[in-house]
Amino acid sequence: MCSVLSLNTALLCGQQLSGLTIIGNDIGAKSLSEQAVIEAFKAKNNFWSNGKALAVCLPETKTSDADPVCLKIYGKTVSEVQKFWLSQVFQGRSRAPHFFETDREMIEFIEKTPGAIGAFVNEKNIPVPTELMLQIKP
Amino acid sequence: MSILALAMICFRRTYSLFELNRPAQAVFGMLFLLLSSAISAQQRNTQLKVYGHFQYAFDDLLGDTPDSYFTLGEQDFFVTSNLSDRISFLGETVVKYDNSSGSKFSPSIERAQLKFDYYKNHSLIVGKMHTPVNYWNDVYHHGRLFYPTIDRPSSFSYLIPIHSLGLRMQGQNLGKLNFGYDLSATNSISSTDIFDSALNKSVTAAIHIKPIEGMRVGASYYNDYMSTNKPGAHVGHGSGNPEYTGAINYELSCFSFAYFGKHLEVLSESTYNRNKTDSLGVSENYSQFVYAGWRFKEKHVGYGIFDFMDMSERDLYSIPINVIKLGLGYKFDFLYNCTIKVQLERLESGDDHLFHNHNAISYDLRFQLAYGF
Repeated sequence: MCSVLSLNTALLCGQQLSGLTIIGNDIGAKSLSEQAVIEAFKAKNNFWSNGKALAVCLPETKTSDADPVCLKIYGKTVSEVQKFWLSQVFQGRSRAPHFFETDREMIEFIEKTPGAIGAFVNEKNIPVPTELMLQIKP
Repeated sequence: MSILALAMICFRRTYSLFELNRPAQAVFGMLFLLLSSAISAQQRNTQLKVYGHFQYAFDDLLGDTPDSYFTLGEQDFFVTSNLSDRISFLGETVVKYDNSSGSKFSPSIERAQLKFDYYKNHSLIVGKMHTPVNYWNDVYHHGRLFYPTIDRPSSFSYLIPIHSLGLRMQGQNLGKLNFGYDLSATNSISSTDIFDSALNKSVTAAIHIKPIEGMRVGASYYNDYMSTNKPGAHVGHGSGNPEYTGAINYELSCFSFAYFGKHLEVLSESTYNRNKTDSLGVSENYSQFVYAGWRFKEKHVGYGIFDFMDMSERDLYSIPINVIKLGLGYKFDFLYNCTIKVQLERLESGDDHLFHNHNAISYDLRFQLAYGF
């Protein structure tokens, strides 16, 4: 079951984001383009099309997921992404993202938070509720 | 031990360290209450962060004995909280050097604003904010960690109305060019944070675009008619001109170009200030700041700066002074939240025209350690 979900995830992700599991809760769409996902993680918009407030969820910076997530989504190192968010929040232009030690913690938070979007590698093939899965178009 | 008790102990220690006066105690008390509520109300995603810096300088003023000294820089307490999905709070209180206070340090509320995201990327902001006239003032605020150089441009001490208190409409990341706007009506430059004797308000209109990643191009216009020229809480970080208390029509136009790419970093701040008084007529002041840097191996930046300001002899808003600064620097981001900068600069300033030999010239070597956590 777990391996099937992981395989599906890999297939669902586009080229740049391949290998990442992208999940979201009540974001007004079940499929997004890679560009839309990247813009969401860079907090280009405060809200989704359905009016839900955007909440960005990322792996804690010392986790093994942090490197690939930062590189594939932001095109930056973990350190650069940390500085990016520090600066965004300091300017008052974006709300701070949420950081999680484990994939499971992130999934649980997103399940409880409409408007939340998160990315992780899912090396341990943790089952992801199908209603959270997003189809990513290249 | 409860969070509140811990906060009170910290407060008492801080209080004895700085020997703060009553208003300062009140501010610190509020900060630590915010800290305690920040920790206990994580579901609101309330956060407290601290930014600050230390400096060392070796100043060699030609014809005078050189100075060598360490400086305790601003200590910046930064709070954000999401009150709801659409309303958020941002506060920035800075403890900084103040020659008029007994301890030589006093707290200052630099930003305290509520933001209401009323429709998509459009927001209404109420409170005290940094006037969005140029890139530097809208992005870096008091965070030396984010500064590309050691200091602000010279114009911030004379021409730029750094703070505003009032209402601001903001839009950002609109359309493919990531268009943004800021429109504000705020208390006069001559006002305090609690009172403005003028009926008319100062107005700001600023626009920008971000056509590609890392680039922002913007322009702004600011106008304030001051019936009395009183350096208040919203003036630049200089002392203004306390000698002149007549009326001034103050106009400021700014143009900013910023590009911070993988390697190349460029920031240009152009300022044109036109002041009109009944006694001396129109004065026109100009400033131009250019920063150019090259980032290598991710964490290292070599850079150069050019900072020029030419003020009219007829200016009454501020004390007329001319500045030309050239500098070379090196920045090492050894952590994402800790930076060391070294800057060697030649500063020529005075009230005579530039490029003549009447002004004071100094060569300064500065080191800065800036942090945020």
